[in-house]
Amino acid sequence: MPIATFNKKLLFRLLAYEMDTKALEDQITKMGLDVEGQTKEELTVEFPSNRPDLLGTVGLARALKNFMHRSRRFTYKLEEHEPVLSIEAGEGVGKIRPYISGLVVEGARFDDELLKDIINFTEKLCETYGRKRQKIAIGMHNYSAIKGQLRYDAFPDEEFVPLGGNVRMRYSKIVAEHQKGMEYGHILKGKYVALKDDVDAIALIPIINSERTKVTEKTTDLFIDITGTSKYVIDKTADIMAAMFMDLGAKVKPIGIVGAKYGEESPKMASEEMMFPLFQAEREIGVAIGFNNSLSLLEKMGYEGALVGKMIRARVPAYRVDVLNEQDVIEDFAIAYGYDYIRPLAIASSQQGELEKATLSNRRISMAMLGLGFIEVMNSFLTNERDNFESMRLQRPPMYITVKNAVTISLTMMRTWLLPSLLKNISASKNDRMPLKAFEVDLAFNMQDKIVSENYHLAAVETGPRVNFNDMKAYINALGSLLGVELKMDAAQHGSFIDGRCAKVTAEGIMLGYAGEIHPQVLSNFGIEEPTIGMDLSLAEIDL
Amino acid sequence: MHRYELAVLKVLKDGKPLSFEQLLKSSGLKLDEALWAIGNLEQQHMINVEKDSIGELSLSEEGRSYANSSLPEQSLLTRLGKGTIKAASLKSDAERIGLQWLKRKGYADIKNGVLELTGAGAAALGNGVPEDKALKALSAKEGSHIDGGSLGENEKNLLQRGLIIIKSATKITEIMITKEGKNALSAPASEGELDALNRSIIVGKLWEGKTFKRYDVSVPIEPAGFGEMHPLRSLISRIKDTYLSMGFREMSGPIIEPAFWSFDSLFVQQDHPARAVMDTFYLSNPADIAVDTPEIKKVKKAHEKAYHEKWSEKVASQAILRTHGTSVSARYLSRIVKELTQGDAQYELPIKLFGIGRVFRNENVDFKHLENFYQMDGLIIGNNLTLSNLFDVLIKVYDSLGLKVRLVPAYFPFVEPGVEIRALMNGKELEMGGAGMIRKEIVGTSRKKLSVLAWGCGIERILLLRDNEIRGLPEMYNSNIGWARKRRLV
Repeated sequence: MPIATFNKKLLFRLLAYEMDTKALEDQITKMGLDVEGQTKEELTVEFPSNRPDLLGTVGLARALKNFMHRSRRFTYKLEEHEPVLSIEAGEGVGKIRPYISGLVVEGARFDDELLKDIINFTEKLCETYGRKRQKIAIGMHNYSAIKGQLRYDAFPDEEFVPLGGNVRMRYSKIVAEHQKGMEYGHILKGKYVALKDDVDAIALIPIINSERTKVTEKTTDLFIDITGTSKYVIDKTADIMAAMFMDLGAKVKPIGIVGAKYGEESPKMASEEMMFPLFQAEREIGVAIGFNNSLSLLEKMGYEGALVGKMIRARVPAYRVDVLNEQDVIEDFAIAYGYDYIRPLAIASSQQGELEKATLSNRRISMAMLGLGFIEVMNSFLTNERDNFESMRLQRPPMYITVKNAVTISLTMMRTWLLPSLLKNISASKNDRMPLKAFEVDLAFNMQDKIVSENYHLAAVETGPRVNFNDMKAYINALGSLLGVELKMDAAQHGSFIDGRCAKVTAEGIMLGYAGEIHPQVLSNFGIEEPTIGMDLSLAEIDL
Repeated sequence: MHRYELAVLKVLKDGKPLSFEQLLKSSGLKLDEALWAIGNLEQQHMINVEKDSIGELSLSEEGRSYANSSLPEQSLLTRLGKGTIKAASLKSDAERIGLQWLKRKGYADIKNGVLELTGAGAAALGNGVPEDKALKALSAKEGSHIDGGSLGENEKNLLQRGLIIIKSATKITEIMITKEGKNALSAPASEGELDALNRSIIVGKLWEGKTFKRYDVSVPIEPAGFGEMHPLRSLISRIKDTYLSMGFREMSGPIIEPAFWSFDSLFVQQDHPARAVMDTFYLSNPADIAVDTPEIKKVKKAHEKAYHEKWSEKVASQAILRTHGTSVSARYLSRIVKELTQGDAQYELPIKLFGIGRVFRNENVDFKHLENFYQMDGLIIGNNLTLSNLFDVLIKVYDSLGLKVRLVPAYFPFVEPGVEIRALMNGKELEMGGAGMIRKEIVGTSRKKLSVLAWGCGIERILLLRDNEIRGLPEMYNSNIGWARKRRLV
C-alpha cells in the first residue's frame, strides 16, 4: 500500500485547526487510514490503494474537515462551461498512450510549501494510482506560457528544453540520457509522444515537461495535462486535480479535446448517486442509525445526502474512485458511526466444529515422534537444486516445481522432500549437545505429467557418534507400533544413503520412502561431521 | 556399597577372572552372601558374569524330615530286624509307606498276617537301604548345583518320589571386574553407606540402619534429552482447538494456485501492485494452471465493470505460490455458494469455517521478513450477518489466545466494510490482520440472500508476543536444534 508523508504545518493551515500528535493519529485511524509514524513536523500515513484522492495534503485536509464536521463542501462545479483551451488529439499515439484529459486553473495562490506539496502529490499519484506512469502521467504547466493550439500525438525525434535544463535536447537523447528518460522512456516503446503548442513541445510524455512552461510560486494560472492508457482513470484523475484546486480557492475551467475519437470536455466532475434503504445499512452494520442521524453521518464522509422516503440518496463526490455501489457507501456509514461504538453481537449457530483428517493424522504422527525423543523443526518450503538434489547425491527429476522470479539463488524451487531441510538443521547445530534428534511433518511438492502434488511427509534424523542403521530401524518399528501399522523395511539402494545400510519403507504394500544411514559424502556436503541416520516418508497414500 | 559387594570387588580387583568357587574361597563369603553380592554388582555393570545353565538341588519338606531321621522303609526294616511285626499293627502313615516300599523293593513279604524278611531284605538290613544313604548325602549338598543327567539310580528314585527337587538355574562359571567396578572400588562409599538402591536392598530391607551416599546437588548436569513440539506448531494447534471449540470446521487448499484464486476471484485488480513480481512468487514450472471454474465469466464481468479495463484470463492463469490463505476461503466460498444456489447441498446456515496454512511473499529475507509464514483465515457464510457479528467472532478468537484487540476501519479489495485487527499490548496497537464482509460481487448474490464474513491474520506475531526471546519471524524457521531446545512450551 502507498505511503505518503505530510507536512503537518501545511495540514493544520489548510484545516485551520491544530491537533496534538495523539488527537491527529486518533482521527486518522478512525477514518480508516493507518498512521505509520509521526514527528513534530511530519505525518506518515499508509493509504489504501483505492483512495488516490487522499494522497495529497489538500485531499487529506478535506477528508479531515468533513470527518470532524469542520466544513461542508459537497459540490465541486466548474466555473465556466465554454472550454478555454482545446487539444487536438492525433491518431499517432496508437495503443501506447491513447487518452488525454486536462484542466485549466485560474487564480491559484502558491507559496513554496504548498507548491512543493502539490508537486509531490502528482508524483505520488502517478507512482501509485498511475502504476509508475504506465497508466497515467500528469503534467503541470504555466498556462500563460502556452502559445496557440495544443496538439497531442506521436512525433518524429525533435528538440525542446526539458524542465530544469537550459539547452535544447532531442527526444531520443532525453530517453537515453536524462534521468527521467531512463526511468520512464521504456513506456513509449520507441515512439515519441508529445504535447506541443505552436512553438514546440511543452511535454515529452510521460517523461518530462518543458522548462518554458515551468510552474513557480508566482504562477497563478495553470494548465494540467493528464495522459494515459485508461480513459476512466485519466478522467477521474482530472476530477481529483480539479477538486484539489477548488479546495484551494482557485477557479477550474474546462478544456476541449478534439480528434477522431474525441469531442468532449474535461474535467467531467461526474458525481454518481447511490440509492438504498437505510435499513439495509443498519442491517449490514448491525447498529441502529436512524433517519435523523443518517445525513450527518454521510456528510462526515463527504457525501451530499438526502432522504427519499425510506431511502437514502447519497451523491458520491467526483474525486472518489472507490465507490462502486451501495456497499461502499455503507462502509462509510460504518466508519462515520465509529467502529469503536459498534457493539459485538454473537452469531446464533449450532454447528459442530471439525478438524481436517490431515490435522488429526499429523498430530498422531508428531506425538509418536515426540515420544521417541525427537525435536520438531519447521523449515521453509522453498529451497534450491543444490540442497534438494546435488548435495543429496541425486539426479534432478524431469519435472519439479521451479520459481520464476526468485530474489535469491537459495530459493529457486519447491522442496520435493524434507530430508535435506533436516540435514541443514543438523548442520546448523554443531555446537549443540549430541545426540541431535529432529523431525518435521509438513508438505513436499512434486510434479508428474504437469500435475502438481502437495503431500505431507514425515522426515526424521539423528546424529551422534554411535548411531547406526539399526537405530533407525528401531525407531521405525516403534513408530509403526505407535501408529498401529506395520512398517516394513526391505533392502534398497538410494544415493543419499550408504549402500547396504538403506531400506525402503512400505506399509500395506505402499511405498512410503527410504531410511538408513546417510552417505558420508552427503554429510560432508552439508558440513556434518558425525554419523547420521535419517528417513523421509510420504504420507500421501496411507491413513495413519 | 555393601561390604559383601566390596569383598567381591576386592578379590577381583587385579582384573583376573575367577571361578565362582575361587571367588567364594578368596572372599571368605558364604554362598548366599556371594550370590547376593554378585547379583547386585552385575546389575550395576561392575562385574561381568559368565554363566552356564545347570540345576540347583533342594529337598522337599517330606524329604527333609526323612533326611533328619530315615526313610520310612529303613525305619521299618530296622524294627523288623529286632522282632516279628504283625501287618495289622502298622497303622501310622510312615509305617504304611514303609510297608509299601519294603514290599515293592522285595525286602519283605506278608505271610499269615506277619511281616517276613526276604534274602534281599536281610542284606539291606546289614548294609542299610541305599536310598536312605543317598538322601542323607544329598541333604548335605542342598543349594548346590547338580546336573540332572548325572544322577544315580537311588537319586533318581528320590527325585521320582518327590523327596528331592532340582530347580533349573544358571551356574556361574567365571566372574570378572569391569571398568565401572574398578572405578567404584577406587572411590567406594564409606563402609556402611549405601550407594545405588536396588531390588535386593529394598526387598531384603538391607537399608535399615544404613545411610545413603550423598549426592552433591549443586553439580551442573546436562538436561535430559527430550522431544519438543515446535512452538509455532503448538500455537497453531492451540488456535485450531480454539476454532474447534467455537464450532468452526477446518478447511484446507492448495499452495500452488493459478493467480485467479489469490487475486481475481477476490476482486484484486489485474495491475494491482500486490500482484507485482516484487511481492508474489510466480512459477516457471508449471508456468500456468488452467482456471477450471465457471466463476471465471462472473469474475471477468465484475472486474471490467468496476475497473473499466479489459480482464485477461491469461493473467489469471499464471501459476503462483498463494500470497494469502484467503485463496482457500475463496475456493470454499465459490463451491458452497454454487451448491447453495443449486439447492443440492445439506448446509445449515451459518457455515463457519477456518483454515491455517503457509503463505508466500517474495520479499528480501531479513530478521523481520521471511519468504513464507502462516496465516489463519476465517469464513462465515450465512443470512443477515452483520459487521457487529464479525466483531464478536474476532474479539472471541483473540480473547481465547490471550489478546485484547481493537477493530479499526481498513481497506482490502475483497471486503466492504473492511476491518483491521489490532492487538493492544503495553499501550501499543499491533497490526494482526484484516477482516470484513465479502463484497457481493465476489459472493455472486446480493447480501439480502447471503452475507459472508471473512478474515485473514498472521500468527507468528502472536508467538513473538508470547515469547520475547524470539527476536524475529525468520528465527522460527530453519532453526538449529539448540534454538528449539531453548523454547518453552506454548
